[in-house]
Amino acid sequence: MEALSIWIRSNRAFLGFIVRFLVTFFVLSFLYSLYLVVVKRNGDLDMVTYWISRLSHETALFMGVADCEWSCFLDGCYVGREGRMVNILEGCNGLRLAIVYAAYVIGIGGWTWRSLVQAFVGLFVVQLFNVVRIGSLIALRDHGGDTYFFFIKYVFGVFIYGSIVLLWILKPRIDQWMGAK
Amino acid sequence: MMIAAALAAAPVAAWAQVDGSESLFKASFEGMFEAPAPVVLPQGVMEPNPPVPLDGGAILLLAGGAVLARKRFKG
Repeated sequence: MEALSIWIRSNRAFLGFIVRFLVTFFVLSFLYSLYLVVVKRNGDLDMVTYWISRLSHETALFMGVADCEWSCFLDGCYVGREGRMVNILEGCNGLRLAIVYAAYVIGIGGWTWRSLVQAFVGLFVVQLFNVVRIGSLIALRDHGGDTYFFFIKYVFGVFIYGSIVLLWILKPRIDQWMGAK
Repeated sequence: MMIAAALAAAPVAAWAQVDGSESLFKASFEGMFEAPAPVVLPQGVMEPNPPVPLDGGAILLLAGGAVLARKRFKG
């Protein structure tokens, strides 16, 4: 018991982080889930999946995918050339990962304006990485071959998680840029 | 003043309808007071979701964040 209280006292900062990290993650996830329920009840597609699909379509066009089509349904979107389309579902929109990123930033820095700005900007930066990921996936699918399956299974997963970890590692530097001591 | 003007204009408008320009008069109000038909997105068109949890990596990322923070606070 004594050892536990000593451990808690010596790790107070880390435990504070864990509380802020988990509370922010669960609150933001709950709000997002609530939004998804409302959207589904209205018979619509959520705006995050819609915009990620739309921007991925633009990215694929930019990457040279000719005749790239884009169509959305209640449960997601199809993007790509006829016969080689990529299925973009709600789980692919990357918002849950962006929420984890924001939770970490608030967990480390607390509820300060600096953290809130970083979390808000980070949501867009993570989504930008996600758009590049899906756009490249559409281009690879269009290119054909087995590389698509390799990339979807390994490379792009590492790419999106790696980009978030990279932003976390860069956080002290971003704090410095924002004038933190 | 405006009400009086509207009352004065009403017979003129009624006459305009009778006077052969009825179709033109009707056309100008066509669809003006009708609610637009809601766009219904098709359902069940897409293939079923893959059997793996798509956001399973979020749990891994949470654990990674905790490890990174632990290192940072120790440092």
